[in-house]
Amino acid sequence: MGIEVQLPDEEPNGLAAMIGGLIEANLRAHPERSALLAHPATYAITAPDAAVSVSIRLAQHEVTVRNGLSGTPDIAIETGSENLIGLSSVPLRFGLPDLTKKEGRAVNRKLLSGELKVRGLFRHPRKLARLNKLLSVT
Amino acid sequence: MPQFPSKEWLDEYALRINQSAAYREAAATWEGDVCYVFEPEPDRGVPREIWSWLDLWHGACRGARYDFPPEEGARAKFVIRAPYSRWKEVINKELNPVKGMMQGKLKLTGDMPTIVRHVRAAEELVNIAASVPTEFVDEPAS
Repeated sequence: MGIEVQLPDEEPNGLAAMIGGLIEANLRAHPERSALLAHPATYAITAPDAAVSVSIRLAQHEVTVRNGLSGTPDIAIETGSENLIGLSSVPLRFGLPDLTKKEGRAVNRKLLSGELKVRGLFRHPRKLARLNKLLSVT
Repeated sequence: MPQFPSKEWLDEYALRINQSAAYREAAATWEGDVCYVFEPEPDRGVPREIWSWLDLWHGACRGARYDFPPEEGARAKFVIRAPYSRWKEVINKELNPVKGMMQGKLKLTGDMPTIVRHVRAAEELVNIAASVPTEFVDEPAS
């Protein structure tokens, strides 16, 4: 049985609907990825150019995506809408962008230039890797 | 000049999709029909909801239909809906479709991983739409 992503807001914003749909479809297509939900983690994702944010909470076999920012997440990601959607297509190695591939190196350049901001990257690399795997379409 | 929205506009759009090398390359692995739903805005000349359909397959458009019952359109693999004026913004390239989806201005139903894998194809569809000479229904030529 697939895992249903919870969208508790009465009107989930577009980003929440997209991320919820992406995670749900990935868990349906790759049931083994449900192991990524075994431990709790919290995330925030913001696309400033679209003026939209979401908060994601992973708990045991549950994913909740809410509109806006809440609390202090383990990982906070901020980048433009087109970069954000592109991140799901970047090849991963151990859950992080594969630096042997040009797409992975491009992510690194965006991190260094500040075009992509990831707070919690060094403190919670495993949690970031879990989110990347949940969102990955590669 | 075809009016948007209309069957003439959709047919011209489908023709241009099939003429686009950029789309053919970007959508080489795309499989699935798409419905564009134009939600009503009576004060702008769109008094009722209109469904249009494109059969998109491996970089080509195999068919197009305009103004048919919603229950038929709902069977499409992907459905994108927005009020008429949002579509106008997309065609005028004033609204990026990815940003529009994140903002909830364009509402998409369908397999999200497929969409994410084909963002460039979606951008090419917008470029093609922008290339169609268009008379908007709320801006009739004088």
